[in-house]
Amino acid sequence: MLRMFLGQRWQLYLYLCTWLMVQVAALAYALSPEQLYALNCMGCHNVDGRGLEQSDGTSVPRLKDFVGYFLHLPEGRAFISQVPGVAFSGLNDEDSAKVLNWILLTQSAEQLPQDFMPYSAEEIAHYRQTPLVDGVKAARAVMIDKLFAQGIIPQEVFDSLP
Amino acid sequence: MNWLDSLTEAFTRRQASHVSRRSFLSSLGKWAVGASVLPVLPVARAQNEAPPSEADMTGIDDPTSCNYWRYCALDGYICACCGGTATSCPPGTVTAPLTWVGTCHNPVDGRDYIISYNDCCGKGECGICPCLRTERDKPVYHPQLNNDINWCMGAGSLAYHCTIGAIVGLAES
Repeated sequence: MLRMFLGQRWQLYLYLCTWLMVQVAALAYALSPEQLYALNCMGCHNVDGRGLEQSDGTSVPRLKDFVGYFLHLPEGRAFISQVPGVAFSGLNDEDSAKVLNWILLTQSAEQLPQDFMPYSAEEIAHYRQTPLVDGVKAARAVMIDKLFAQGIIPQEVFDSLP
Repeated sequence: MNWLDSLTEAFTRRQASHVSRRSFLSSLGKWAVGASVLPVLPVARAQNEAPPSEADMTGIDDPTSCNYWRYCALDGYICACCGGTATSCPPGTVTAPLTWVGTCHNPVDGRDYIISYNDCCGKGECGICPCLRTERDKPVYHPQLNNDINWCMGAGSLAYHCTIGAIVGLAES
C-alpha cells in the first residue's frame, strides 16, 4: 500500500512539474492588452476604436469616447461582455477581461462612471454563459435611450449617433 | 544529472517489480496503435502546416511572391502584382475599412509581427499572383479570424480585387 502511494506521488510530482512548465511558458508568451486588441478587435473596430458607419448599411459599433457610457447601467455592464464580438471572441476569460478593461480605460475613460470597477475573469465567465445572439442592436438602442433620458449621454453625443 | 539517474532507476525498478511482461506488451501495443491512429482522426491540420523550409526561402523578401513573409495568411490575389504595393491598393480600388488581422514570423530578423490583411475592392478580380496561405487562419465560425470571407464589407463595393498585408505592430511580449 505504501509502495503504491509512493508510486503515485512520483506521478503527482511529474504532473505538477509539467503544469508549472506550461504556466511559465504561458506567462512568457502572454500578449499585452494592446496586442490582444490588435489581433482580435482592431480589424473591425479600427485602430482607435472609432468603429464604422457606411452608407451601404455596414456598421461597427463605436468604442472610442462612447463604450464607457454603458457601464452606468448594470445591464450595460453585462451587455458589453455578452455581445457576439466578446462572448464568441475565442479569447479565454482572463484575456477577454484584460482587453475589455484596456479598451474601457484607454478609449473611453471619460465616459466611465466614477465607481467603475474593472471586469474580472470570473465575471466574464458568468456573463458569457448567456451570450447575445439576436436583438443586439435593439438591446443597445433601449439602453442608449435610457442613458440619454437619465442625462448620462449628452444631447450632442446622442444626436451624433447614426 | 544524479537525480535524473535515480529517478529513472526508481521508475524502471518499479515498472519491473509491479508490471507483468504481458501487461507491458499490451500497453506498448496500445501506444503503438494509438499513436499511429491519432493523426488519422479528422482534426484540423491546417494549423500545423510546416513553416517554409530553408530551401523554400525564395521570394521571402519579394512582395510579389506568395512566399513573401508578410503574406503568411493571405488568401487571394497579391496587390503588388496588380498595380499596387504590399501595403497600398492599386489605383481605382478602395481599401476595405474592415480587415482581418493575423501574425507572421519574419525569418530575416526573427521577430513576429501583427499584420492587417486589407482587401482592395471596387474592381473585378485581379487574376494575377493568386496566393493561399493559412497561418493562424481560423474556421469561419470565428469570422473575425477567417480569411475565406470577403472582407470588402463597408468598402462601398463587394467586388474583390486583391489583398495587401500591412504591419500594424509587434506580436511579442
